[in-house]
Amino acid sequence: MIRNSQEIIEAVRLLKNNLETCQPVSALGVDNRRQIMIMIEVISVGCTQNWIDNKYLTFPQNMREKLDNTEWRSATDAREWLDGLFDIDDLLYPDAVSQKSWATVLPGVDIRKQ
Amino acid sequence: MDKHYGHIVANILTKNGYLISDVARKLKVNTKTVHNWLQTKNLNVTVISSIGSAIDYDFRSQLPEVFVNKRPSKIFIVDDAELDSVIVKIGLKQVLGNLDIEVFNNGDAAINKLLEISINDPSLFPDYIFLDLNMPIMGGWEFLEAYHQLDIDPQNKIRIFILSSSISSSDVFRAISNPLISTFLSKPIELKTIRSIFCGA
Repeated sequence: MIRNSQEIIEAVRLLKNNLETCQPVSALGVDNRRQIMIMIEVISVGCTQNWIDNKYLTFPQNMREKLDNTEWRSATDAREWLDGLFDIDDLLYPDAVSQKSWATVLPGVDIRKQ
Repeated sequence: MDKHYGHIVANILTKNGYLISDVARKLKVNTKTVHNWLQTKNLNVTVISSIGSAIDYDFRSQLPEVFVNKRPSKIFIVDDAELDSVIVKIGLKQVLGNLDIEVFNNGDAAINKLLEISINDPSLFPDYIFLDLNMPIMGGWEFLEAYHQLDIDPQNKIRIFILSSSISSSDVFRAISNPLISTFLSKPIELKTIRSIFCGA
């Protein structure tokens, strides 16, 4: 593990804050908060890749290209952060935005004429 | 030569001046997720079409073999809110053109219709169902329970989307965990989301 205790404390703080402010669901229907909670666990405890594979992969998903397994992927990303491969900012989800207007829901369509 | 779908998508993003952070913000994921996608050789069609919708780019010209979904001909909307049903209907017709859309204002009416079809002619099953959660008489969760108990679609041909205004993480997780459900969509649904679902249409 490359990260020191200060970096880990700060990362967990940022992720816990992100849990409150993030978009709850991605455009692909994935629960972002669940992904953040998984990353907090891996970073807080210092889970090994072996532990992550055993917990989140099920046969025949032991090929590590199974990106459809979002939980395994988030846990592995957190492990890679612990190994110093990228910055914590890359793990943070975009903040929730304000309510959409009709113009963004159905651009170019006048709903009153339907 | 095998195509690397992730690299192809990455090249298109670069050519069109998009950063990984732009795509991440539009698709509401973190940048590491986008980075992972671009490193994936066999990137799935849902992700490719979602990225395409986010940057308003049609990947079918580069990756025609990926977009092999059958064009849907029949869709059920199960929602008691008339305005929400209208929005979904308009969006579907904008993206897919003319198709057969039936609207039900509660789960019980939809289950009865599906039972009738299963007895008379299963070829008339809808291709997709957009299902609200909070409805009178029979809500979305009760509908799914009945759908499962009655074994309405033993061949799993119908794809079901939850379409709800709920932001409860327990609802989202419950939906994602249910094998009958393709995905959880938030109301109001956007055109770009509809395009990303029906990527081959």
